Amino acid sequence: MDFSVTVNNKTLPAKKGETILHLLTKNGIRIPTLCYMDGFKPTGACRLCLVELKGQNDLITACNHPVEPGMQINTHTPRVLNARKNIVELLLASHPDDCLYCNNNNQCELQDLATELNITEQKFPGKPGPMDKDDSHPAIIKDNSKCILCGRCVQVCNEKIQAAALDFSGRGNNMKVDTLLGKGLEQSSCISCGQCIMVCPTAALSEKSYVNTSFQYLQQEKTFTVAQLSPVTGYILAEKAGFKPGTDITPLLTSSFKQIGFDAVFNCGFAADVFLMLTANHIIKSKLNPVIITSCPSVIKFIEQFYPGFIPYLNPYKTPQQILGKIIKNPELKRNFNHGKAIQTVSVNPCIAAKDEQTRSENVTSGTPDVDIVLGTNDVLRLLSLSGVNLHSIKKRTFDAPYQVSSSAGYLYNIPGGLTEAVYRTMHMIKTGQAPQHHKLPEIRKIKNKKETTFNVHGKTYKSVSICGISNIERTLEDVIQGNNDFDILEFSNCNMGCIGSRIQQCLTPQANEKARNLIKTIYKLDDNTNMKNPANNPFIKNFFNNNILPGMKRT
Amino acid sequence: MNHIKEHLPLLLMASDPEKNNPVLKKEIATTRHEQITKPLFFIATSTSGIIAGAEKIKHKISAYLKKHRLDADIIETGSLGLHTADPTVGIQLPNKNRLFFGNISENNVSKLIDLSLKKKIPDGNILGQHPIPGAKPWDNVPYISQHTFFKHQHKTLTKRIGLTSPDNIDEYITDNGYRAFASIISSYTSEEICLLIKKSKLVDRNGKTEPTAEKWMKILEQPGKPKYVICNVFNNGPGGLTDKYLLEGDPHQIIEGIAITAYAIQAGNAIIYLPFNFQKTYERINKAVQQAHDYGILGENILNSGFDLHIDIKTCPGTYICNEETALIASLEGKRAQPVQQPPPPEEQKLFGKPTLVHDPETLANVTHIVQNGYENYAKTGNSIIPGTKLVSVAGKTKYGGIVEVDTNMLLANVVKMCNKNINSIKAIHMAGHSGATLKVDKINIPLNNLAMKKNGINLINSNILILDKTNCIISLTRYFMGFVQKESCGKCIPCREGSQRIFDILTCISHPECTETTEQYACIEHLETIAKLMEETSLCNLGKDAGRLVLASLNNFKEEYDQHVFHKFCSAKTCFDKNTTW
Repeated sequence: MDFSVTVNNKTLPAKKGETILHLLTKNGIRIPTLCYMDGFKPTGACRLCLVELKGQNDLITACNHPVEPGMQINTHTPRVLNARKNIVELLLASHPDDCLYCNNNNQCELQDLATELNITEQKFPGKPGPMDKDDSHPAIIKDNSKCILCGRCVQVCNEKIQAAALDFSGRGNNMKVDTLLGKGLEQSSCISCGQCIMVCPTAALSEKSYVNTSFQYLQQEKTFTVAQLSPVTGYILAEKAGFKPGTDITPLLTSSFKQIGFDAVFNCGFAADVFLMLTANHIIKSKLNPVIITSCPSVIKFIEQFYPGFIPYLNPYKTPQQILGKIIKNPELKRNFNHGKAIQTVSVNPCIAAKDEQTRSENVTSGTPDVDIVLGTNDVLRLLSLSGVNLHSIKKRTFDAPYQVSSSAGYLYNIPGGLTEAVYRTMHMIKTGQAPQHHKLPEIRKIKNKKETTFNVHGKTYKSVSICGISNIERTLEDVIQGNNDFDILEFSNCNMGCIGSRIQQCLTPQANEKARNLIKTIYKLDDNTNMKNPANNPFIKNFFNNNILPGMKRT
Repeated sequence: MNHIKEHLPLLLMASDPEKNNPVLKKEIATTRHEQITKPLFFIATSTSGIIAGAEKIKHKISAYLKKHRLDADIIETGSLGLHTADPTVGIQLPNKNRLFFGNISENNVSKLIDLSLKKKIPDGNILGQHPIPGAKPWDNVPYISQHTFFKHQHKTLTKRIGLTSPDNIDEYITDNGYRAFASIISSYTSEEICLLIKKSKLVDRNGKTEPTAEKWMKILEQPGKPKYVICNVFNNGPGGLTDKYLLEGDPHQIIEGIAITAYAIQAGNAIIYLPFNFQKTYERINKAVQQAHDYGILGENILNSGFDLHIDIKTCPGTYICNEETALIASLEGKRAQPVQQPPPPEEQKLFGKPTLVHDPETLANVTHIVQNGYENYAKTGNSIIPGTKLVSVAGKTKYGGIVEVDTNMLLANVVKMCNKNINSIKAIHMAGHSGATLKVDKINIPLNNLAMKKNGINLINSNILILDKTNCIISLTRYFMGFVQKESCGKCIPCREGSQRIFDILTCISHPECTETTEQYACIEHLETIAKLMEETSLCNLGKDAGRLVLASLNNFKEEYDQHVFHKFCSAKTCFDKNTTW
């Protein structure tokens, strides 16, 4: 049923059941929101989306108020603006004024709101709220003094991720976002997915930065410092570094890393090829059905914590980052390049969970971690600007030998469904010695959260499904427990758009989803245009499997 | 042998149970303490009494009886409502009216019993006599209903409280209790009950002014089973004691109200929800529920009608926000107690996704009263839109204080007069605790119903009347209530959480001995108004809205007092700027 609603003296068509906020957004009328997230039930906590409704004494919130025929709504009257302004001023009264030193300076929604509402002075005197800072977790810092209690992280953690690591504790002036019994994130049920960081409007939840440590590494002359780059980092960083979205700036990054003092820059895609070979072999030999394949540290942690019964079904191999870390520090292999120096490995990885993964006990060999530190995309930009590197004027450079080349399948594992496609190719090669006739699995290339397909390898048919998002994963696992599905291969990843979407999906906006979608298309195009589509064709791999280092590749 | 339980069907269903049944007649008279053979001592051991020392008095009396080898019974009751006279003791000798004494202490209790047993009435502590059918009155003792405090009250819901034992279901049954429930489940349909309540024009007492029958009919129509009735014993904020009083004084009245309501909406489950620290209330209501189950008044196939009802008692951790219906339901489901905003028209709250009706005890007591006594008289009592009576508690600088039940047209000013001899010594009235406003004493001709109160910016969620004289500072009082809101706010919405903190800070600043910056404080007053207005307009639930209104009322009505504090560093009540106060 359609009817019309008057907004700011203009008549707009509206549908029954939609909210006022939805109607406004649809018609290009922007009102500020803070606690609202697309795809989540509105909570009405922040009260910033207030609008004036004729016939109503109080101001109402647009996010959860359904439209009704004949409504007369005003979105920017002085009364509304004053109320919004006062609310932000109240928030600022108890917010620390240390923007200059803040992790999220210039990337802060509260800052943006203050600018938008023209707040130029501190109006209400106030005192800061709970001051405790939790930096127990290797990847996430929780700083309650910066928290404005919008509840986004709590909603994401409980409704989307279902890890329930974060929730509110206390009430009134003692309310804060807390972990179970206040024990710190490291001891909570956190699966390090980093979604809370993505949705946090301020720096209350932020990524731990390792820029200073990496800078120290570079200054030590007696050590051999290695950078390993995840193959999609170049694509993800392009827009932030001022390039056209979809450009691959990896050669520029490689070059700049060499310039600022890294002794070698290796391609993590190589390890992805190793990972794919191992995984393909595992699926072929596996007696358990289904096989869960994932390169997502969060999913591994999720299954270990919430569905331990599925651990035997989980692909036993480490993720590419850790495989390369292990290979680089292998005493036999490192002789080829390290000139007898001790190696320090810096991994560049867009994944937040990778920072946590690096500290897991199986990734530490006799007291030294396989990968010493992990830099996120923000860290890389900071490190480059600190070192005065201009990416726009630098010459391209390839990765260093011996871990230099990767097949295009080594890129695909960063895309939802890509892992299945890459594994299919590899399995086909291993079984038949030939590449499959069609390198694509068309069903898999659609962009959605659950993709089913079947493929045939050497007379055997495999039914696979690739799934994004923990809540979907949980549903699938429950189905498996109930015996309701007959998949042979389950591919899981936590981030909605796969690894490639992990950094772009700031605040889960439709625009961010669009960007991630474009990047996925770019990767597919790259795959279609590359000759080396199969990990088994990687010339270095053949050498590599002659070396007897395989035991270290397993997680346990 | 319990004759009352034995004759239960007769007592509940027969039109005149005593007819042609002298044994039962005698039994009823004994249960109602009308025919007694030994002296009876009635002690008000509800929470208000216990605070005043009723337990000690009880032990003292039993020690006295033991020492003098006297054969007498001690009966625990609810409070009479006159809390300023607590602890009260009632003494009933065979064939004599019951006498009530107030302000009994451990020192004078022995003397009191001595004299009473000799039929000599001691001076000083006498409150009055209460007539007992067939007994002789005391000479020269006024009737308690003529006491200044009780004279103008309209006691209907509270008429048994203080006079009967809440722990004794027999006493309730012999007083026509549960007859209303028994008759409706045997011969009325749910729709008929809804219609009856509709005709009585009963309106919810929870501050929202919704017609009760409309709520019932909506839930009755909803599909989904089981349905739930929740009795929310939490409606009062600071100073509000009326719910507690009703539950401790006459729990069976509430249980009958719940049972009738449950039948009217066809709910098979009811929950009584109260804070964990209401110990005495819990004890009494728990005992009463057990007795009712024991008598077959609750449980399965009640009185062979095919209707089932189970009542559970749930305790909550005692956060005020649990009073808000949506937060209450979240809390019962095991979630964090936070209100959920539902856009108008407010949908019915649902516990575990099932149709759920939430009522406060006062509404439920009204339901019992209406079904027992008919809707015609009820609809004529008090206000024409909100008929019936209203319970309020009176405290502060007053001679008499406690629970008052008056009709809904009674003026606030008259209630104040009932409790105080001299209205000239009063400076202001604070009505309805954290959800109300401070009123000047010349502006209190407001009828005690939610419609009239709302026009004055008062939400009768909390029905406490606080009487203030010149030793009470308005700023301190407002600060106290904001301290409450700051602590009890669930913290979900920004205006309530941050606003209450800032207002509390500002009020602390203008009354603090060490804060001297006048211009800064002047800006503070402006901020106070801005923040209070914001809270009123934009808060998610009533807690924040009412708090904002409270501050605005205090600012508007007592501007001169704020001016004195800011510009002259002067507090006429001499409570602010005191270095000895802990801030």
